[in-house]
Amino acid sequence: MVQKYAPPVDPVFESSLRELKWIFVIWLVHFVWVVGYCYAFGYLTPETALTTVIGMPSWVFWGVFVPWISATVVSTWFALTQIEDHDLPDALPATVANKSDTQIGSGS
Amino acid sequence: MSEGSTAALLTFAGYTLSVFVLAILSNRVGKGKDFVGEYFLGSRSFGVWAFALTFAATNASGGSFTGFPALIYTHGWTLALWIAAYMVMPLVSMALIGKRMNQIARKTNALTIPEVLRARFDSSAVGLVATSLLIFFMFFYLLAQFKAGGIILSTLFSDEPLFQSAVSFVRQTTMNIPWVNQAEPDYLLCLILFAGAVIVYVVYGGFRAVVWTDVMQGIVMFIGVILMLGMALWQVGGLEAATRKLEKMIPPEHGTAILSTASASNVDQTYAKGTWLFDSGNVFRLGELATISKGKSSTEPVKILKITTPFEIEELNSKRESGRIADTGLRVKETKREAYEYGAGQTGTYVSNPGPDSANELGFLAVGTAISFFIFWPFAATGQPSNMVRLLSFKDTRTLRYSIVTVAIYYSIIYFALIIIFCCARVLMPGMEIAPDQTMPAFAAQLTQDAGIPWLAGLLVAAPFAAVMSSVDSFLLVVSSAVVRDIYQQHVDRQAPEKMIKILSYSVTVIVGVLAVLCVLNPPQYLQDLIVFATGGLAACFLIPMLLSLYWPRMTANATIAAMLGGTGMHMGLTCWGYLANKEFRAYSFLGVNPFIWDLVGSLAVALIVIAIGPKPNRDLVLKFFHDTSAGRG
Repeated sequence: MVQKYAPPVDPVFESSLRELKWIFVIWLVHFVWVVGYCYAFGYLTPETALTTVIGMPSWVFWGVFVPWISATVVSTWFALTQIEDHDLPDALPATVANKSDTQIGSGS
Repeated sequence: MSEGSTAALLTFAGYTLSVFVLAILSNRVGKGKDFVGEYFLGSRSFGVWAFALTFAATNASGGSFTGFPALIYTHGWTLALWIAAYMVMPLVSMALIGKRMNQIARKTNALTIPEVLRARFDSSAVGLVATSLLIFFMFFYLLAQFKAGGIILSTLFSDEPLFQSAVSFVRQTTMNIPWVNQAEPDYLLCLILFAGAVIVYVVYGGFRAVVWTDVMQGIVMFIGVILMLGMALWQVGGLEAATRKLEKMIPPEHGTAILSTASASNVDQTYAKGTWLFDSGNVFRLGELATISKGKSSTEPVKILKITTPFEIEELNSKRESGRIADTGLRVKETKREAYEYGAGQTGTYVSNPGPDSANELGFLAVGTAISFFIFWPFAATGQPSNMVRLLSFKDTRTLRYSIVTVAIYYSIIYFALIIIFCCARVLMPGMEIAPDQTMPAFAAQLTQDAGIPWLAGLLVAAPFAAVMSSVDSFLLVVSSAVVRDIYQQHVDRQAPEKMIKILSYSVTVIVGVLAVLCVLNPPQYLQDLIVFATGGLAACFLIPMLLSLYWPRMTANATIAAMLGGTGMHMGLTCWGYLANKEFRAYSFLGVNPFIWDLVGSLAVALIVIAIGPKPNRDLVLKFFHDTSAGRG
């Protein structure tokens, strides 16, 4: 049985898919951090004394503010160093493309 | 307020003028370029600042500056957890699909989201279903944003004498026109002003004007928020002082009361909504217009808000004594009291989760709801066609990378600042529970007045106006591009000359805008719910099909249609269930889980079933979109 030839995988697809998986991981880590911390320390009972850090409730500081800074730093690092650059194809002018589509269609 | 109000009018005039200048400039830049590509996508030529700020501004709709401040004011610090997913939103919503979708759009010369899907599967049916669903949901969104624009403007101009004269003229002119005469004349005038400005600059400048104005609007929003943050922290005495005061606050009580005077009145006496009432040491705020009719000494029962926090009562009484708040001298006889379902009579609820709530006994943000929102915000934003279409417009992958950084920093500053500002507002400005949506303009006016610079209110209030405008222009263009590009050019006349397309594009933009204005002259009662319905519906319809189309070679045209209809069907089904169960136009949270998550599950499940039982994907399409066909065959 002769195997059909398949060209190599599209590099933009390949790198985008890899990046997509890491984005899910980054989202998940922050999700667990924020919701986990706030669930444990942010639902205060009336008897609990409020502690603050730089003026905000400490659960906001450790459960939202710090992860927010972390997410911004990680997003910056990821965007600048992990997302691969590619030469994207040049698009034809839309009207030209539309006409050439039609011509191909009518010609076939 | 007159000085501030005149400044507001001048700010708006200057702002509108700038928008028109940008439209004229972008029209000049676009001349000589392919019309369709330029009008709907700015020739895919946007660099970092333009791309980043148009993305940020479009996403931060009017809700960020009206609804969000109202929620912070009403529920306190818990909103930090509610909005926390915005920390990852720029990365998720831009990088998850941005590069891949832009590549496919370029490969196929697609300018709209339905076009990307149609080209990916070479299927007119996919394009048609996507276009129909997009127009259906997007129109609801457009209505809501037009309404928000009209309301913000009328708040901005309310005390301006010139505006009041214009309102009288509009009242006289429209009183005999059916349908139109049912609208409040001040709202009608502002709606027409707002819609006219947006339609003109979108038609004249196209996508490029929309992006350029978004950049200006993004800057206005940023400056407005930073100025407010500085003034709020200064006036409250620092964040620590604000949080400590919030800790001592007790949620107010809604209710009704009969207001009375000592003797019968000779004329009708009216008391505006928001009037402060003092009786026997208690402090109330009027929740609606109250009238003591001629010959009577009391009103019918009217809505009131009873202040319950001791230090607020003390401060308000002291302002009354010093003459800073007028005392009407009315007696207040409470007829009904409605304590908060969660947090009534308790201190500490504004600095803790789940936050006080007047209607929900579990509080504002139960942990299940917090989990749902951390999923909802970034992924629902990814599924919005108005965001997706922006991802078709960046010029190279470097622009995308740097824009993610820009938007991440921009959102960090804006949203965290908003939380702090309106926690301060809760301390500095009591009683706004009577009209929470007015919190932003009211606080801007109070801050600037107390700082002795009332003219600055105009600039601060321009921020929410800019946010609404930048959303409306984008939606207008998405809907009109769907009609022209995906319906006319695909199904009516594929060889239409450029002149015809030009006339059609302009006409459709104007017609859609005018239709939206006519629909919101008398906005439906549940308009806010319609926004939620439209946002959830768009994401339910497009997120899963787009993700699978971009990343899974086995995805097929049938599965894409099924996924779009499956997500939409689930969304409509849960909305109907919600209506039947709760008599509210809001999707049902089955098992306490956000309906959006069920929508995604429904969409994915249907897609997987159709792929499993349906035909295999077209090999040529898989080769075209998943393989590097330009590579040599060795």
